[in-house]
Amino acid sequence: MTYSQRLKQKISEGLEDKVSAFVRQMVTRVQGPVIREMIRKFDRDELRSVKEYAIGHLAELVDRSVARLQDNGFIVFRARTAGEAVDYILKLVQGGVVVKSKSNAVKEIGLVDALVAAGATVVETDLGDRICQMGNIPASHPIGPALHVPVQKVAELFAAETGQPVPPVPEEIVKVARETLRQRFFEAGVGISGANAICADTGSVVVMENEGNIRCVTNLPPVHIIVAGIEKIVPTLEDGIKVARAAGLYGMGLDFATYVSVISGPSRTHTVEGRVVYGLQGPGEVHIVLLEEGRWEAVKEGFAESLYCINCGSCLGRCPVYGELGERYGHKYFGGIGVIHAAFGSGLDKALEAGLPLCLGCRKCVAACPVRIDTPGMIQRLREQAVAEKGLGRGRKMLLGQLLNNGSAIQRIAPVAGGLVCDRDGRGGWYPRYALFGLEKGRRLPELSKKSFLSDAPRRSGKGERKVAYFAGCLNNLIFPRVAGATLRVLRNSGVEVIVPPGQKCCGYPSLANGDRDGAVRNAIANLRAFGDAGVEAVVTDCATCYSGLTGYPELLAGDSRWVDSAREFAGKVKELAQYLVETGFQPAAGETQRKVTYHQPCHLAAHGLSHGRDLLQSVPGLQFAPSQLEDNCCGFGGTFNLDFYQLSKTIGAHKIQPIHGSGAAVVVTSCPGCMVQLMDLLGSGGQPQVMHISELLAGGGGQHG
Amino acid sequence: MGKYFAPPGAVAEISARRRQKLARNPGLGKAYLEARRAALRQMDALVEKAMQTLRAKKCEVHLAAGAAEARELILNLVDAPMVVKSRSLALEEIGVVPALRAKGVEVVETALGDFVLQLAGVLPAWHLSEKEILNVLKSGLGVTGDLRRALGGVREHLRRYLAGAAYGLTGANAVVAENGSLVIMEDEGNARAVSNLPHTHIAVVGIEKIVPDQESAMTVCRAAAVYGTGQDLGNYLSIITGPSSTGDIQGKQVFGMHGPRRVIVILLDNGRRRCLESGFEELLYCNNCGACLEVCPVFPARGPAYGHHYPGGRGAVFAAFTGGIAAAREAGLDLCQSCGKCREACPAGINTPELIKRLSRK
Ligand code: SF4
Ligand code: SF4
Repeated sequence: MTYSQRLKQKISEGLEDKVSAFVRQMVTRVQGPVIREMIRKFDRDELRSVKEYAIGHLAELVDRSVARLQDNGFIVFRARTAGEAVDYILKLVQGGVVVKSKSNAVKEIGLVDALVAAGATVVETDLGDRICQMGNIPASHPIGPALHVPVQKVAELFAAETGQPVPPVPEEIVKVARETLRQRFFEAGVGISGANAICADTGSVVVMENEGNIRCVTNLPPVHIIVAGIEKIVPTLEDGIKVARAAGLYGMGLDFATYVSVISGPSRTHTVEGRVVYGLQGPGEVHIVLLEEGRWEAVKEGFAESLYCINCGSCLGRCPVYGELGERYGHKYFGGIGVIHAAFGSGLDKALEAGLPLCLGCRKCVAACPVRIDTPGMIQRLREQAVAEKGLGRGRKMLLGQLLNNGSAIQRIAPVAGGLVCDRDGRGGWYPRYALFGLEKGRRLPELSKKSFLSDAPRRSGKGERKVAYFAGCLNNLIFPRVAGATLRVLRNSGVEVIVPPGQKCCGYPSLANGDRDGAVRNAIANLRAFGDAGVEAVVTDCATCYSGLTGYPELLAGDSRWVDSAREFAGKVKELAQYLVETGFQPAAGETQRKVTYHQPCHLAAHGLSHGRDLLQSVPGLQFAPSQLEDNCCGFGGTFNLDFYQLSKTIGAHKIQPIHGSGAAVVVTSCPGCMVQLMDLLGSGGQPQVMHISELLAGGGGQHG
Repeated sequence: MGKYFAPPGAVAEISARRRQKLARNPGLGKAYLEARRAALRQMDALVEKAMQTLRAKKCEVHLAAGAAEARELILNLVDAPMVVKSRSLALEEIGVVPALRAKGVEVVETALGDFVLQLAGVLPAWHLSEKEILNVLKSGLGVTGDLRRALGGVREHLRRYLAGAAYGLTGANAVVAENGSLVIMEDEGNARAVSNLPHTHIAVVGIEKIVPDQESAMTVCRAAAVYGTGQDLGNYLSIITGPSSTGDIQGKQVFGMHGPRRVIVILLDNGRRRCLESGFEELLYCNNCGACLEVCPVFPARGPAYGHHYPGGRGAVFAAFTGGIAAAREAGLDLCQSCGKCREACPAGINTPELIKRLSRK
């Protein structure tokens, strides 16, 4: 099987595993608001600068902490690879009972299987992990792995373990679990844990938890082995506490986890003779395996930021792809950050299989991360590497290079070709009759417009003191010229002169998202040329994705001295339509007053902290605004993602449907033609509620600049 | 048997280590003093806040005005034949151990030194030589061999008590008001076991130990370790925020997973507020690191006769606030030679001879 077949298989498995997806989404729904409330006061910049410093000085910090750890009596082993780490530990553990607590690094090196193969009995001690282990059940959630297991089943598992009946009551099961695991702690010869942080200045290891099992694992057996990636090292004890605090806040919604333990060596006491003796109530021997595997490569190749991750799992709760697929998105480490980890731990092919093509670029993970890690940005760069190695593929090259940029070609072919294979629903929708070109049967496609917007757009229209240039974008150009037209009307009617520079192309975002940086650069330069001497106060776009694309030009062209300055100037002028209107004091006159209206917030605006669309809607006189829950959840469109992974895309989007219907609105308004395509497909041909671009709604009512 | 304080060899060892650590962290004493001052300046507010956050974290909290009240609380709570405890001056201060024993409860010390002394039946003494320890262990537990093997025997012996105890008694190095956390520092791991294995953990902490945030708590612990044993940090730092819990079965929060299901915190005033109000704030800067005792010319000779619960001159002064001036005299207030060495050794620069003078004038 190729990696892409394996990925497809993982996706279909994931989509079938509805129970665990339900649990993940439920946890996010319950915990999300709690966490969002709690993290308000948390200083992300402070934590980020700690990690920036630590990873920026990693070699030095590794040396320093090794010295301090050794001073403190730790036995330190520096493992270049996962294999070395496993071999070292296998030499220490000769069978017997091993108790372990949750650890990503332990999972990363595949230690449990190796220990079991060597004859050890490995006992998970976190209750959720233990339940999964006893029942051989795949985990559904990083923090609550067994949340999807019914209490009845859990009781049965413990009854089987103890040979006694166990009532299906959480309190009773906990009692039994406490007793049985206690025995394991006392009989174990070795305890294995991970680390949340290693403090270089005091030579200490920080671990955190709520159950108290880690305290037992690290205190009761005579030997304790810690496995930790070198990226866990931070300069000071206080930094370690910061990491623990962030992991508690972002991972569990607790201002501080129940137990944070700082361990600075084997259990010891000082005798009056000035001697240190080891092994009192805690372990007399503590090994720490510092794992390098892939970390230096990540730093070397410019992906140091991936090592800022503190594994809190907060991003997972917000990631739409993880929400559906769970641990199938990623490899050892989960979600987008896990894909990046896979690239450096196991190579690009593994990353592709882990889901490199799946990231929607919604940036929810960035917003959720205590270190603000730019996961989608790194994923995009990895895609570039993949394209450099494997090429873009013919179909994709044509779509991105020709079709999107050359409206007339697609317009000539589509109506004829489309008519042969699709049915029309008379409301601007096409349904493919066969599963063709990767387009699945049963989906609703928007009908291509007979004429592209740019082919006969007015070069210059409207009169007024304000002058802007309009950027149309592919979807408006090819599918929704009516949206573009409405946008021009809104601007004109409010006294703004609008020019539509000819020669404008696709913003380049789709190319970039597909790893085709060169293509994106070509488009960017073409657009800079087209808009170069427009002499306007703003470049207005009514497509959220284009907003991301256009404002990304300075970064895209950072290495090109000929263009970087104009890219910066251009990006400084780019405004999303509603943003422009609100910032220039636009007052909507009247609009939809008959029907209730709800809003869908596009990810590409949320990611930039823009919420003007919603504000504007609410300021339309007489408009009945009906907020819908999950307003800013991703619709799952993701551009070409929707073509490549239609079922996944649709499943992600489906979560929006219920709340939209629930709002009682007859119109759902959004600010991105991409989201419109998706919402129209999701809501089906019934056309209820009607999907509208905000400019269409505003164009109906007019309005004035204040 | 035993010495009141470590012989010069060990003291030299500790101070050499301390000098080395302080060279790396020269601002520690000052940072410590500032953290303490800032906390004491807002003591009432911090007590309020800590009680509220501890409760929010599902701890049971009591504010005990005096030693008797704190002691009674524990006596009423404990309904088991045996409890385990770790070393704590606050526990000594309230005299709970003799009171429990009088009630017929077996109280088991879990720190090596305390355990050996308990076994030997010599109380109170401070430090035994390795040879003395081995002798006690041999006659008391029947373990033989070198220290390492003997310690294995102690470990096994104490495990049985730790595993069977329903109550664990500890002190704490700090209480963190912002999060409702107890911070306990130690070297042996016995306090971790005492605070994790029994189903109820009872901690007694003087109200002067409440600090506003985790950062201040870390400063307090660093200072206690560097000045106390010459380590950067005690071997184990346990930050405990509420009882053990799990939500792993269908998301329902159940207490008492692997650790205690009840955590009871007794915040002890016992003269501390009076201390603050009568201008003796300085006394409350004490971190119990014992650096002053190393240099005091009186303490090694007099041992427990100099001080009251809290050893040395500082303990004698504090006795005035718990038991009046007579108690302070009883504790050796007049033994101080005013050499001022303790002040130099103290991370907070507590001027004990000056405090003693002021007290005597009163
Ligand atoms: S950008 Fe969106 S889809 Fe991609 S990893 Fe982040 S949350 Fe998941
Ligand atoms: S990338 Fe995810 S797991 Fe890592 S620190 Fe950020 S939010 Fe937490």
